[in-house]
Amino acid sequence: MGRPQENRGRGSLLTALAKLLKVLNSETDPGQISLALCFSMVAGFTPFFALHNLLVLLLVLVLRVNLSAFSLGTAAFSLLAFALDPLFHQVGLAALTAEGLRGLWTALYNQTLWRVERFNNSVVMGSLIVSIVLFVPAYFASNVLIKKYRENILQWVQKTRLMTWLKATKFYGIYEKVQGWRSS
Amino acid sequence: MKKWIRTPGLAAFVGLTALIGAVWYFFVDTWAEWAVEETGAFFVGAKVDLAQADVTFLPLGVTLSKLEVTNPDEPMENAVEVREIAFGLDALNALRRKAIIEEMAVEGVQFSTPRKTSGALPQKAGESSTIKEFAKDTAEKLEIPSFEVPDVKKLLESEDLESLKIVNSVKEQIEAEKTGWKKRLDELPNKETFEKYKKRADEIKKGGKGGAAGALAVAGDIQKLKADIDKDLNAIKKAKSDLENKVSELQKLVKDAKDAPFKDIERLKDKYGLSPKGIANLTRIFLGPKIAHWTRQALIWHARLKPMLDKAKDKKGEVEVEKPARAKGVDVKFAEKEPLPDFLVRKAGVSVELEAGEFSGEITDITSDQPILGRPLKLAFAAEKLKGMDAITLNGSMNRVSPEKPKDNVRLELKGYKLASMSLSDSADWPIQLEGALTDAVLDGTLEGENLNATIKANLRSLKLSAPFKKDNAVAKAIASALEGVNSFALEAKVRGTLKQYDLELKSDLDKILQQAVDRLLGDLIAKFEKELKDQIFAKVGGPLKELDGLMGGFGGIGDELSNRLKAGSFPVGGGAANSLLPTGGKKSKIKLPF
Repeated sequence: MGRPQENRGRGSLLTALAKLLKVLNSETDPGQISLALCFSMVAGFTPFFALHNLLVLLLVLVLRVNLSAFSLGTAAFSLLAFALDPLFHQVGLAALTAEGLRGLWTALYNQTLWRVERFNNSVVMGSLIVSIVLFVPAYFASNVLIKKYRENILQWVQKTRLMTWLKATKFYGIYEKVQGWRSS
Repeated sequence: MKKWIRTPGLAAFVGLTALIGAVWYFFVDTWAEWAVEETGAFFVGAKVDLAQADVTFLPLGVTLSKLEVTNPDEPMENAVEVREIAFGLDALNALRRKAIIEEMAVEGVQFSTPRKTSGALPQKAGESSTIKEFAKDTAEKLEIPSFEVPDVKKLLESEDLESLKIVNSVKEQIEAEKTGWKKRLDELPNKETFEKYKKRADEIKKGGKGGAAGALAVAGDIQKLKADIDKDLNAIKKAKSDLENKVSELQKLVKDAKDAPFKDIERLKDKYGLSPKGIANLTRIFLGPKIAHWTRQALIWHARLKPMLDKAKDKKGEVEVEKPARAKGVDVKFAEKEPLPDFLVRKAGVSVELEAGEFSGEITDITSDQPILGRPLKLAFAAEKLKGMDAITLNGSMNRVSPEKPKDNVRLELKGYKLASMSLSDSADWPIQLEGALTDAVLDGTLEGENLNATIKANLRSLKLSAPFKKDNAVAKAIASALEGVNSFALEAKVRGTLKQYDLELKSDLDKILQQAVDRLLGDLIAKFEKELKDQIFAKVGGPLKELDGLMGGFGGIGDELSNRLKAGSFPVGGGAANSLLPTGGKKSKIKLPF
């Protein structure tokens, strides 16, 4: 009973890795990938069923950002959020209890839309602040990293023993399969 | 620009949103059901089952069907079962995460219904320390005396007699004092010392020379002699005074030692349940455990309901930080233009199905934010002409408007309530069964912070009691016979104290009846027990006690010796020639000695 599940788990991890490589190795504009990652940071860091994530979803679908990067990023940032929740709580609580901002928060608190957003929760507020603050720097940093990867590391990766070994494994089959999806 | 816009994405967004909405719509009932069961179990500490939850959107409302709340102490029983709960929700406030219910209908409430499966949870996560404290079940463990004369010999084998310890200790003290005094006597001036003084006086007289110089020399010698004698006599007087004090002190100890056996007798009488004060309140002895048990049950349920009205809050500056029961982070609350609690049921019409018939009423202002609402929760139920009951009314309130001064009160009145067969005492040896009675009863209870104050007054008439006691002795038979002859009695129970430590005071005219029945019999038993105890204890302590008297007699000898020494030191030192030689200032005088 355990073995098929284990294989399935390993398979989905390999699929995710393959998708990531596919995205990075494709000719997709680095900006589209970076923007997708930045949106995924907002969706992943903040509680998933928050109202602002509906706006994120709209933007992700309407703007031409890479959807694979978004879905992979969301999963990764959600995992990271578990570890960062205490930090988000501290940041959120500090912002929500800051004397200078009380007027603003009180005004928002009295509007239904913002109450639905649940902005007054320390984790929601903290994670939103952190993801918004990191949004622009993360966009540019990601852009630079993707370009650097494509210029320098991609060639090197293709030649590594690891890649040679990987090509001989099931992983490469999945990669090929994904490549096939792309071309079809 | 076109490079960045994906027009079909809008359709995808609409489709996806609709899909999420549809999934939510189809599963909202299941989620609501799950939420009710989980939250209920968290508060109660046992399973809460809900057969069905139906959420409607136009208008926004919820109907819950067959809610079963397990009794955590009896997992095969539901503490409460409700056929249906229906209420409408204010949609706008619902979006603001506030459940504002104008009117709620709670139909078919039943208590103590059987369950098909156990409702116990693997771990009672919701049980607070207060409930665990109550669950210790201490108040009910009241000792009922056996009303049998125990075997005194066996009893004394296992008992340490305080009197014996005291007598031995006093004996040791007297002996130590005697040894000390013998040593002190040796150090004090004795007859020989005073004989020497007499010789010195004679020598002064004989050695006196004529003339003024000779007279002055004699007077000087006499003064010196007198000072020496005074010093020794004072030492003896001090010793005598010390001895008198010590003897008086030891005599007190001897008296205490002589009283000690009687104290042992009283202690053992109390311990083995044969003292008159032990049976002064037989109603308390027999019915106390049951009433204490009911009080404890009421307090446990109060402690379980309390968290629903008390929210964990913390002030941080001018804003309120509120810990949600089960969520990540904290919700910070800000001032609202029109403040409303997060949860409020303005009016709940409740219909309770008792065996006697329907008992309905309403509960108003159910909320966990009473300081915001500014009103306490109130309940009022009433019913008349029920099966086996003329009337019942229940009124109460739970006030948390000032959270630092919580106050709850309840008043329950029963008129002409036909009590069915029930156990009044669950003691294995002393069971008392009420076969039936007509009751008028009033319960008034107030809980102010931790302070509990409750009074139950009940008049039972047309009653029949049976008392199949296991103890087979004359007193047990007399009590059983008296109880079985009772056809009415009044009872007043007062519970006073704090939630964790309360006293139960029980008064009843039943006491007088039982007291009369057992007084003479118990009096004889007590007298017999006391005599046997006295004989046995004095057989052990009598000898050492007599020794104490003998030892104290020894101090008389020491006192006599001191008196004799004082007497020996009382002799005239001056007079005769010596005195005549002393300077008189023209008058004839004598040296006045103090003895």
